Amino acid sequence: MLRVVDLAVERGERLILHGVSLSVQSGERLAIHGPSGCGKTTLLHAIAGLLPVHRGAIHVDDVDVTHVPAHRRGVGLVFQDNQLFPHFNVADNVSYALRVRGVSKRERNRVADEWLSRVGLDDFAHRETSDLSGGEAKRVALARTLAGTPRVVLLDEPLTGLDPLLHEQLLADLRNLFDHLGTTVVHVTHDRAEGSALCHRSIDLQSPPDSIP
Amino acid sequence: MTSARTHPSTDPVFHPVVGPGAAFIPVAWLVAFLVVPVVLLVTGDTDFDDVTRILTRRSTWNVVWFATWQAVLSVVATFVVAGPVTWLISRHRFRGRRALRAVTTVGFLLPSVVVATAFLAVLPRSLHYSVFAVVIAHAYFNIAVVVRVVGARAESLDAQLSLAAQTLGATPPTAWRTITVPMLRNSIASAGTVVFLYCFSSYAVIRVLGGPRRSTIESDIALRAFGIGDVGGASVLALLQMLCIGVVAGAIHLLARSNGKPTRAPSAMLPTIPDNRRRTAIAIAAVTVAFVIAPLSALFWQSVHVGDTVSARAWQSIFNTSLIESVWTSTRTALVAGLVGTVLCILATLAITRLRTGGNVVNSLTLAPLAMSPVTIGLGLLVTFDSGWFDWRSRWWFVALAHTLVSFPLAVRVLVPAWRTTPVGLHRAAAVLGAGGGRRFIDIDLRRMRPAIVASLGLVVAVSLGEFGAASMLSREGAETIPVAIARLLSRTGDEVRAQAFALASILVVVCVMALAIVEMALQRGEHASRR
Amino acid sequence: MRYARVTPLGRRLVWGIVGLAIGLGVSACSTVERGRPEKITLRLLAHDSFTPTEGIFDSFTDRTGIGVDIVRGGDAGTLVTKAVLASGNPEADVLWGLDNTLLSRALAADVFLPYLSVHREDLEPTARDLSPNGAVTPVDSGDVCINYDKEWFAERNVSPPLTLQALTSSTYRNLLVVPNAVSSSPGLAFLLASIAEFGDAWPDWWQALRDNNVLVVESWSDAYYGHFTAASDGTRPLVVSYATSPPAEVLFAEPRPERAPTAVAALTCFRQYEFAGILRGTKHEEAARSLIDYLVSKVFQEDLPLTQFVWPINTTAEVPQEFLDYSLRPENPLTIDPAIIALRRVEWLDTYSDIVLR
Repeated sequence: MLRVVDLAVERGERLILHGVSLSVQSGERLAIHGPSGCGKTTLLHAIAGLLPVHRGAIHVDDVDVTHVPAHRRGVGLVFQDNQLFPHFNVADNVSYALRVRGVSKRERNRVADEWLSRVGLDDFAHRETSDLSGGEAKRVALARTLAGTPRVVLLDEPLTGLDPLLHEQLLADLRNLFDHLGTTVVHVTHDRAEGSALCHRSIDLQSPPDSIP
Repeated sequence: MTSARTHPSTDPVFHPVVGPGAAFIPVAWLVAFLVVPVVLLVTGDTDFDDVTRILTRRSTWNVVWFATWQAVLSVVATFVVAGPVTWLISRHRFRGRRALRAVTTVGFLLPSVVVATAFLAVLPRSLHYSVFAVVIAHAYFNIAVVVRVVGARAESLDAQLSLAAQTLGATPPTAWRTITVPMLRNSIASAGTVVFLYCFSSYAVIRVLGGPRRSTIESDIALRAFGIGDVGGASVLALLQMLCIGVVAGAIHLLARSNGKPTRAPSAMLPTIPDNRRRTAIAIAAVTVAFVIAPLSALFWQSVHVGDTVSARAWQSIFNTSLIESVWTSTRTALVAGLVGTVLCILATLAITRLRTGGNVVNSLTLAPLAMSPVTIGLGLLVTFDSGWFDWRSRWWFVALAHTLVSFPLAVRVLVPAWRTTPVGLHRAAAVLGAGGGRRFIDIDLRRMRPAIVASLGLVVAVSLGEFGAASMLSREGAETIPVAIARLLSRTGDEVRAQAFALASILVVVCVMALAIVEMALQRGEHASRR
Repeated sequence: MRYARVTPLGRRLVWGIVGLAIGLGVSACSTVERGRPEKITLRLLAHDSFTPTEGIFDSFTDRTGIGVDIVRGGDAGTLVTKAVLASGNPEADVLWGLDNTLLSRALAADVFLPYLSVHREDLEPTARDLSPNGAVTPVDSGDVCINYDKEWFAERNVSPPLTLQALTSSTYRNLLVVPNAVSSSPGLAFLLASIAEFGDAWPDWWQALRDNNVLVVESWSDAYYGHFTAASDGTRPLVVSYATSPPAEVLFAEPRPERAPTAVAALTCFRQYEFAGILRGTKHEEAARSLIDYLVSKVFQEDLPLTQFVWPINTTAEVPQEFLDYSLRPENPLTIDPAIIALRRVEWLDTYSDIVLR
């Protein structure tokens, strides 16, 4: 379960987020809508622990993680541009979270195969990340995040930029996967239809008063 | 860039205006003045006895061993010195970043003789002629290599990758170890290789700072040819050095896995320095600047001292004696080498970028001077062009000729990337508007390339001003270049002679800085232009 | 995308450089073309320690109309190598300062035009006979010996070494500085002295010397003025130098001391002869011959002792009394036949550097 209370984030002199509060139940999927530039990505990065929080608090499973560093929060983030590690192949990307925990190579490969299969990428383990299409890369990024078994998964515009056919396909796959796993998801998107198709509930994020939309 | 799609040579419009013709001149030049002399040197003055004589000597291998370990040590020292400032510059945005980066480049652009002399001025006497002096001087002018090569790569690394790793549970040190370092590995390896090869065949630094007991193969070639007068033995050593450089460069080329596919566009903006790191950042910047400035200030300071008293005697004597002639000789040599060298390098660049099959051959040929080393090149020219019409030993342009060869690798490396960006589209547009091949070459290529051309001109001039190995072989009495004159002064004893050397080195610093100001100006212009 | 433009300043600099270079080229060519016939000026290439009295060539110029430019080109070894590499297209007309340790190398390369000087009969026969066909002409002689700081040894009540053998004794540990035989001609002379003294056992002696912590430096001046206790703030009271260094210490000092502060170990001396020769390829052979004659003439020879601290080779030249007062002329200096030196020099130097420099 994720709870954000009166969150404010500043960058330099500028207030990017201001008084944001939200709460997601365990297993619930929440879509956050908002025009571009309203701070959706900033919000996700703040929740993931990648940005310092100016005011407010973030709780995960009733623990205050506001000042816990990113790598100990248990919050997964699928970056808008995936951020696959270019010097690793697909399997090594997917199992990175296990590698960090010191899991053996063999076990990691098994887990990677398992997750790749779940996102529909059987036989992709030994591919190089540079050879992936947009949709494939997104699936790898998702598998990488999920393989770390985070308590909350944050999705940053996961379907933006994919062609319509792929878009539909991936959307359906995501829904099935999350239903199956019971994943808690915060899904940021500018596309209302996408949000309502994937999530149980949605909220709007307003631009802070002094920011330029 | 549109040129990324089709190879230029397959495009009818983008057809090589001066293609094979362009290739002919620089290739002929390199073959006639580089390949042939070195081959003649190695085959002509050497017989099998020389080979066995040199290769069975214990001290030959001692020299190889010393050249190797001091180079390894120099690489380590370079990374130690340059690491922090590279991190500061490549990962942060702050005021004075540009200036700091320019400061780190100073060492590389200064003549090695000057750097060595400056360390003679700044180090206490007890450290003169020690491995420490050699290694620290090597580190001094290689800072730039690390800052530029590793820094450029680090800068283009997406900071988010390391953040992505952290969301997956990696601590910042783990993220650094598993993500950042592996991604920098290739650039670290290539910077390390460059520094290693540079130090492995170091000459001026070894000669000025090493003392009689320390010798690289390069300085041993010079010692053997001039001190002992054993040209046969010297050419065996030259061959040995070529082999060593070839093996090292080849091995590293093979070992460096090609995992370094360039990441996409660099992250939009580097972060500013967080408050908790501000102190570290200031300390790093201050120490780096001090390290770069100290030897140069010591040089100026010592040049106005004779013994312990302040005196302008050294400067006066430079302007009153034939020493000032060396400034004139150097200027003349550098300008001629700069002009001829730049034209040749432009032609070579055209050949490299436009020829489909020959391009690679021309490319490797322009890199050949790196393996052959200036001393070998000088020696080769000296023993080849020594009779009849081709007796050029007393010609004033002989040194300039050698310098055009020595500067090929660097100048071509500046020109080629710039040239590759020439858009095919512009050529097509111009062609449709009725511009012929020659017209397009002038209107599109030359015009677009002007900053790169100016930069390479400045580089060749700077290389020529500071070049020591070949000049020390070819310079004649009464027509020495500044570096050779400095080395001569340093080989003598006495406070005043030493002050003269320091003063002459100071003059060379000023001349080089002037040449490099042109390069920097041109490069900045180029950067602006390509950003638009 | 806009075309890159060079700043006006950048452009002006480029054109400036182009213009300057063209100008230089033109002027360099024209000086060659326009050289009008004028009086001959000979270039006399000499090592750095060639320092005759200022104006010594004036009388020569007045008499013959030939000017003399002295060009100094490093130490003797470098001079010879460069002369060999420049064979046939020399940097100067006459070379001064080739010595018997290097003689064979230059003669083998045939870089000199033979000339028998008009003063040949007056020259010391031993030296003269080293170049029987007159390829080079002897000009002076000196001895390379161990010099020691008298005060240093007196203060410590230690007796200075008398022979080469003594130098390897632990008494003299850390005390000796020598110039490198590869790069310095007195250094080479000292190496030859050891070979003359010990024969085939010389490498062992050098090993012992190294074990005794001998300091090897690049040049004679570095050794003498950089490390010798009597002439610098160095720490070595023993140095390889010339037998004529003690008189130099006296005659150069202000005020002049009663006795020389340094002395020579006479049994360690190696005789060096210096030669001058006409470089093959000179355009002024006749003039060069007159200059050779002048260099061995009584006038010039008598100038040598007090300016360069060497002995004249012309037996009719008078040596100044003050020079005689302080100088030692070893009676039986060590020596090696130049022909043997020619044969084995490279090998000796290789062995030497294996032992001493690595």
